[in-house]
Amino acid sequence: MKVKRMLSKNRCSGLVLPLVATIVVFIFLIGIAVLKVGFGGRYIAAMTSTQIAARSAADAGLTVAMHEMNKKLLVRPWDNSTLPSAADVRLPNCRAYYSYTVTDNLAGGYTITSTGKCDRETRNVYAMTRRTSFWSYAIAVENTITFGSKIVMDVWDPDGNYLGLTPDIRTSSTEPDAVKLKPNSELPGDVVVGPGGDPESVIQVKPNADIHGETYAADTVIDFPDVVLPVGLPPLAAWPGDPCSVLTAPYYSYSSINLGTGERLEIRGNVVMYVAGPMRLGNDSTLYIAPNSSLALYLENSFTAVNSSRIINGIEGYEDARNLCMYGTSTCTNIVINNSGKFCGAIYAPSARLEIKNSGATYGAFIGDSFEMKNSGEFYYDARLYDFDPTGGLSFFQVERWWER
Amino acid sequence: MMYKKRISRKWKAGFSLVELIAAVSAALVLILGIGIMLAHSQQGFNRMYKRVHSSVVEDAYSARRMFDRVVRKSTTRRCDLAPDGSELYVYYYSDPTDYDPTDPSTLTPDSYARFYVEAGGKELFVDYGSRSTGTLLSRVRLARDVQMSASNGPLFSARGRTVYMALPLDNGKERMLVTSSAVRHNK
Repeated sequence: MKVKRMLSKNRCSGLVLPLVATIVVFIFLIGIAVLKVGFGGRYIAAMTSTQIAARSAADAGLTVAMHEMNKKLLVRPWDNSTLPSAADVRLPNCRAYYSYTVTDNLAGGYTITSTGKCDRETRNVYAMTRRTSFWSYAIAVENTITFGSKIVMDVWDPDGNYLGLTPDIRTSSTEPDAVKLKPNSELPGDVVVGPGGDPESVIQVKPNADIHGETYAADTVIDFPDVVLPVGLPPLAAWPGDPCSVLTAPYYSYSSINLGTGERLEIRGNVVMYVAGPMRLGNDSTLYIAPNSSLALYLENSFTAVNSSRIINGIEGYEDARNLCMYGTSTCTNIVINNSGKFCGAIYAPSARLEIKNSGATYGAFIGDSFEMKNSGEFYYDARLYDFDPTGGLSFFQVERWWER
Repeated sequence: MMYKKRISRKWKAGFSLVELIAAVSAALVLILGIGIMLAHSQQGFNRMYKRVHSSVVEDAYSARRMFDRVVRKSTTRRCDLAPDGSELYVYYYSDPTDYDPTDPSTLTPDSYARFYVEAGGKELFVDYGSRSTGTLLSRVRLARDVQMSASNGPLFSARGRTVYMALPLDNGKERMLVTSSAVRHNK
């Protein structure tokens, strides 16, 4: 009996249960700690990825808003009363949403507010945009730009409305030496090369030539839209070949124009002229645009102003490049200006080789397939072309300022 | 007879040597198993704790965040890199809302940020300053245990609008290559 009692006492006072309980508690505590640390890591990872998704959504919203604004530009006339907006658009294969609004900032531009949301994270990005013409570049081409020696560029801003502008030039090319600056040429603005291009190899700067601005690769390919012929052109007519032709009607169409030696073509009023074949200004001939008049010249083939021809755009010293706009369609492949004296005008001919060799200063801006300036002297970018878009199809919105919160 | 019965009862209540050895062996196996499991758990916990809370991870997080924030607001027009990629300059507008197309002073970035590893050191810094006066306004340390080596490639590189950072961190216990890329957005 006594032995039995002793045995049972020994069993009750055993350490097995407390030992097991201690181990269980210990394992439980370690488990809790591991879970906490694990969840901490998971939480940080999840939060970071959510923030990235929200931010990407906000960026996507801004891109879409810019696209919509540029799409809206194609609808003419521009209507400021309905600006693009979107709410809670879901990104494909993602939990993130974006919303955006566009507001008129009353300073000639628009402010885009884009909000990206993913779970509980929200990111806002903002952009201030402004409508600019393709002529916001002094020169913009698909391929090569060649400057002769001793060419000095600057900005011509007679009204003082564009004080901060620099004459920037741009090529879409990424080929070596696509931009050549011969000795003693000076570019005060930026030189932009094609997306992915290396400015060091694309731009060839000869001794004593200098670029004061930045050189960098563009982020996107510039896509020059084709020229659309205006509505209301009359049927093609043959050029009369008078010694002095004065055009005053709003529209003219010619199969070709050849100004012979000493002949003169005067533009009085706002004239739109379409030339289906070649247009040539011969020796000592003159294309004269009277004060307060303008010429929009649509070229289907080519334009050549030979040596000693003259292109006079208004009164000396008060020239305005907006008064002589030359548009080359996709079949216009050559524009050569070798006139005597100044040239003041704007050329938009994305498929054409542009060659300037006038004896005086050059004013304006040039869009073409390639550009070569052979003469030495001054090149003034006419700042009034920066946002000039008379036909409505030659401008685009670009981001001037960007920030996020 | 009585004595025999008592002895047999006593023998039934006790353990034989074989039983004892078997029980102790089983207990040893159990304790060993639990011990190994606990040791592994502890190791796993330590490893995970280090991964989440080590100085390398904290530095990686803050360096990536700051790099991202500064590069995203910088101008696409200019970005300067040291030839060996050890240093990066980006330029930005201190107040991007201050924009007036007719005021030349608002048309170029007025501030710079310089990311660099101090010469001979192991610390990554970013300096903020005024671009026009060249004045240094502030300096922030982003990471402490940068381990530069030729095999890691350049610390900074750029292509188009994108700037890349490959930051090797090593504090002797943890090693990590922090990679990040950010797109410049401003004009």
